[in-house]
Amino acid sequence: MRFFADESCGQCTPCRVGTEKAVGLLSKPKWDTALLAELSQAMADASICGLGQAAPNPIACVVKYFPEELA
Amino acid sequence: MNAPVEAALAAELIEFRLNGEAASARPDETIIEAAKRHGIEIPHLCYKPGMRPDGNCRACMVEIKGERVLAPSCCRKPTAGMEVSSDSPRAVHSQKIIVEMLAADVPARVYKLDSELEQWKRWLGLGAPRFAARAQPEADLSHPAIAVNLDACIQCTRCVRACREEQVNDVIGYAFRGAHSAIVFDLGDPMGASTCVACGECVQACPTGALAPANDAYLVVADKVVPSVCPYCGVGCQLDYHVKDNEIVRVEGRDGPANHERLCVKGRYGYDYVHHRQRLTRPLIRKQGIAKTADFVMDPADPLAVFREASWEEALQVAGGTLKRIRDEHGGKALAGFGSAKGSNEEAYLFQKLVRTGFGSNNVDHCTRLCHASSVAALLEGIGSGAVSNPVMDVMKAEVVLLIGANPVVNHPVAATWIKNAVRNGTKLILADPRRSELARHATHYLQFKPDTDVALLNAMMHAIVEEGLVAQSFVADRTSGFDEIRKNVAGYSPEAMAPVCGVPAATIREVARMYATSRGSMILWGMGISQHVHGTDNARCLIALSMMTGQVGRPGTGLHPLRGQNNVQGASDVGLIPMMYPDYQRVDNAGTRSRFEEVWGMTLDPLPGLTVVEIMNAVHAGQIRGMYIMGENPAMSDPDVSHARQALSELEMLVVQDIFLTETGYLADVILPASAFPEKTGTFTNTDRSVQLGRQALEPPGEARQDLAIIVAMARTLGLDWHYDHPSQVFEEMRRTMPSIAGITWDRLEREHAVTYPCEHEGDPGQRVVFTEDFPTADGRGRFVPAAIIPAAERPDGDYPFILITGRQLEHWHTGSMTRRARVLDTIEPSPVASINPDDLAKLGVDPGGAITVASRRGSITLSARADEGTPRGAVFIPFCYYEAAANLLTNPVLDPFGKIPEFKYCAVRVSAGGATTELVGYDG
Repeated sequence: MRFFADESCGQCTPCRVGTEKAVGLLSKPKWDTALLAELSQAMADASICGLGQAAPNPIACVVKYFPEELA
Repeated sequence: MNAPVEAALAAELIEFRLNGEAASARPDETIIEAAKRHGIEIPHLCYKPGMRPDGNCRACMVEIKGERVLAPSCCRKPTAGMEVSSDSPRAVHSQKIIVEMLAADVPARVYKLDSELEQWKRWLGLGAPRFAARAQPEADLSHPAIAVNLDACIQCTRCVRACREEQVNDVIGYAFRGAHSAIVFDLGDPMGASTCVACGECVQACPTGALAPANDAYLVVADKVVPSVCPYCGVGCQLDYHVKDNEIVRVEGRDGPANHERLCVKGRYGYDYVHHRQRLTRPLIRKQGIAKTADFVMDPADPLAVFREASWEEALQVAGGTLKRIRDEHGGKALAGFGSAKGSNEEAYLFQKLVRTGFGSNNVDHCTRLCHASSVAALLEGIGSGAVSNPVMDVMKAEVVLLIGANPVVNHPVAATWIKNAVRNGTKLILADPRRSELARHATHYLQFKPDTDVALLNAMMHAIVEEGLVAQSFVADRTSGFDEIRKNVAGYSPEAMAPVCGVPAATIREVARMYATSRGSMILWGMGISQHVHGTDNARCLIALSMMTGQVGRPGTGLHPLRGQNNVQGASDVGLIPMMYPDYQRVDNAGTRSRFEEVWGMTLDPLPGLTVVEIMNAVHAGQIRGMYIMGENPAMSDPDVSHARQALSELEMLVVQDIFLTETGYLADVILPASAFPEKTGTFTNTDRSVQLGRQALEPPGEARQDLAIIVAMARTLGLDWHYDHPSQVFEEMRRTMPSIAGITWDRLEREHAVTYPCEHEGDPGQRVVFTEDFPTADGRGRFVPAAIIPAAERPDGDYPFILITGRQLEHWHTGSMTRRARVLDTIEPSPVASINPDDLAKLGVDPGGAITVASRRGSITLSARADEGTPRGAVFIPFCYYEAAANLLTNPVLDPFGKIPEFKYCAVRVSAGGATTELVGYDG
């Protein structure tokens, strides 16, 4: 996610602010998966380009395929 | 703010579905606009009606059936059958998360009460944000008018668009990437050190108060909001005064026909002069034994050194009584009056009526004599009307704009924004001016002709048009007379012969002449660079001839526009505040006209035209004029060779000055009557577009100060006139009866519509924005060509005085500075006299920028700081005339144009030397 935050051009809110907020949420010892899911949906739905739209994909993957890592 | 919107054409509507209901949209409408019309609100932050939608905030997302992602409703237009939801769970989810994230990043501290962000947060039912805030930047408080609190910035770029796309100042930019994205001024400079011109458009655009007035005005709840008009230049921007406890808290742009919410630094931040501690609040009478001298040293903070306070009864008795005695002993021609282009039409009308009926002569004039008298003379002679043919806004419809002898970025800032917008839309701008102004960078062609060579340049353009067969034959044949004379006259002015005279290459002259002549619509706009010469009328004649021989007049986006300088200089002239004409330009020496006015005013009138501004001063010197009544004008600063004018004023037996401050002219008065500032009275004002607009009272005058209309009425009564006017609307009714051009405008309509354009001859007439469409208002309906030959300036540079002095105004200051120098923001930005001079000349003098130089002419000498200005041609120096400490008009030459009687403010010979002792600042402490 730090990669996407770094790559974000800064034009639209869901990507510019969303990636930065996601980095913050992901840095926490315990993930707030509900809030992360809400954020991810808005980023995917409302970002202007594919970068912001795809940026949250890894979060969903981790939650779906590696839930034990978050336990 | 809004781009001008043409009446929507009846076009087919697009049928679509919105939130499950049938809806329709015009083809140019976006979803958010159509939704609003259907009563459906969609959250939005970066979208602002009238601005180009940018679609960056993503708060206005809607779901469109069949699309993978949501769409920004501010950018998308509906198509037939489209199914749009702004209230689906998916759309609302994004709207909420986006507003929540933005709200998380702005501080708890409030910069603007009930900001748009707060409103949408509430509307969406959001609580405390669940996201952590970003690291916050420091505030930038380096600017006197605008506070930059980027902690409240949501990166919506409305300020960027306001600065770059509306005002086209190109100061604000959007820098860096990702979460580091930030608004920057120039190259990341502090705002106060940037090239910002403080128009405040960005502040008006900002939804959160990240850009806010520096005085925390956004945190005050106003008692009332009064729609009115700007008191400064002739553009006539409409504005709102936000008032609390009889004080103006702030000013916002209104959607008027000339400005569509835009304002400039003077209009937006130059309002607090009305509350300045130096306001005159009681009548003053000159103390016994205090002599009047032309070389006075002024201290406006201490009027009681020279005057004593008096009651209104005593002051009026001394003022009116003495003028009456002079009239009875020496006749009406021993008196004269200067009215004001800053006052309302009603005040100007009553003032000229007072002079004509109370003094009994036509010795009444005002500062139009010093600005566009020559243009008006040429226009009346050539096309029978002294007003503009098209509004400024018509530049948006023109293919070519020729702007000559004008610097609207400084003098008509909001008009300049429309010119810049037009250029962005593809209009070609030809800028001709000896001084390279800011607009030069927007111009397709910039012609830096030599000062004083206007006629050479314009005749050469006409020569090229005739020679290359570009004359509009049918227009010339059907609508003009005298073309043969002009054709013969310009034959001797080939571009090749004139190129060395005016300093513009012949090929360029031919190219711009072709562009002007062959475009589908060309506008000419001009300013005082044309009019303030001994050949000012000739300059204007050339422009009129140029437009008529090419048929470039009388259509939308096609015509002539002399940019009027003061808020009501158009109106003051219209209502007869000039010595040779009654209201509506009806000549005083026409017996029929005179008898009509004798009937309306109920007394015999002087059949002879009166004297003009400079002629009145000469008549005072000659002992012919003994008493004067001056309302709101400042000839002791604004007249040419001002020591001569001050000398004349000091010789008067009785000088009555009606003003809001102790001006330089007031210093020479016998009686001073404390008057009302613009926001303290109601009246109509006519802008450069011929729009009659209503200025409304927002404040009560301070102390015993009275409204100007009441003072004029009281003065009239002391002169024996039985006048009863209790409200400006009564005066307006009388004006309508004597002025066919405004006969159709009613006071009620002005109150309702705020602005009505004349000619408006019958009630219900919409008013004509563009005139001369079918014929000219001359006796035979034809425009008349008047040829002009080259007449050199009265005083050319020589060995003793090798430089040329050009005078004018600055962006921040207006007229003689009596108001603007007392406005805190304006005074902070431009506090002291400066002379602009080419850096090469400055280097030759051995002076660093900011160092002192002394500028001397045959009439006087001043010392002031030098400002290096590459736009000023070598061999010239430009000095604004608003500074008492270094009054430019001590130097100017009082020679007059023979037709307009306008002095040559734009040209005289001076000597420039390094150093000198500067006069101490007066200290208005705006």
